[in-house]
Amino acid sequence: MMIIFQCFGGTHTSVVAAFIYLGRLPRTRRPRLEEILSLPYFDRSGSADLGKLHYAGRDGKGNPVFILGSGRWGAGIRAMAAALLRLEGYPPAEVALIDCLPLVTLPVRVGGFISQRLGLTAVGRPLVGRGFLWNYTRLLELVEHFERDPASYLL
Amino acid sequence: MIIVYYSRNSPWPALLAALKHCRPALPPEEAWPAAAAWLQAHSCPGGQPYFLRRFGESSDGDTVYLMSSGVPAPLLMRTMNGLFELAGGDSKLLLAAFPLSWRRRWQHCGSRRRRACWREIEALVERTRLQAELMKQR
Repeated sequence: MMIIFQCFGGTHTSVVAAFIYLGRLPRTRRPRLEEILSLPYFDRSGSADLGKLHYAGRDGKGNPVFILGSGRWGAGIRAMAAALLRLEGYPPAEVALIDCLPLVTLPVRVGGFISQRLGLTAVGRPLVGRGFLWNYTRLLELVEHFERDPASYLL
Repeated sequence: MIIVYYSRNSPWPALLAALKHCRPALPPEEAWPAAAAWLQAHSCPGGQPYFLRRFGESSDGDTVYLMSSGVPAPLLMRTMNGLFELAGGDSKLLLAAFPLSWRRRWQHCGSRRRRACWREIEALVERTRLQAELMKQR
């Protein structure tokens, strides 16, 4: 199964969720700010990377995990990917797409704007990171829900 | 092999490309009425975020689909081509997008506009045929 964590820019929420899933971020405690800020891809992709599948690693079962930014077209991309993968004559492929966009909070949004759009990473990046510390439990719940019921995320 | 022609905001460019792909000798003056008739026969039910229909088969035996939505073509191409490459293994699916996002009324554009559009369509179909050949050879 191919696993894709998706959010608006593919650089904040989906990155944190993917690395919780992959075990790089802790589940029994809140991570330290530095642990979040040092994640690969975190606050680093630009708008030119929208739509690209960034490889994050393999989970315990050997499934490849990717990170995707779809802008405001996440729902459309999901629907069309599902339709195209079911076309007649196309071999069945298992793809799970986890939409992290509902978990984007105001500090993450504001911090992301300051860092990505205004280029003030010294100000924006820590704000985004703190936003995840405040919202870590919900991200953890999303990941655990996916682990309990992966079928509901399949395209 | 499956070929999907995509155009943003209107199915017209994708439909014209599908027509040109399946009927290479089709002149532009016949393409527009044929496209209008096809669309009338395959109208899209409302409420769907995208339009996807099977158009037919080309002379090379490829199955041609057409698709349209509000998603920008480069974004969709990047995602889908990555997805097909990684999830599809050695399966053959080619997504070809009309590069421009023209919001004009395709059905009622004048003859000069039609000729200009047709040149874009011909270039897209030619490029897609070459890509399909390369994919088959791999």
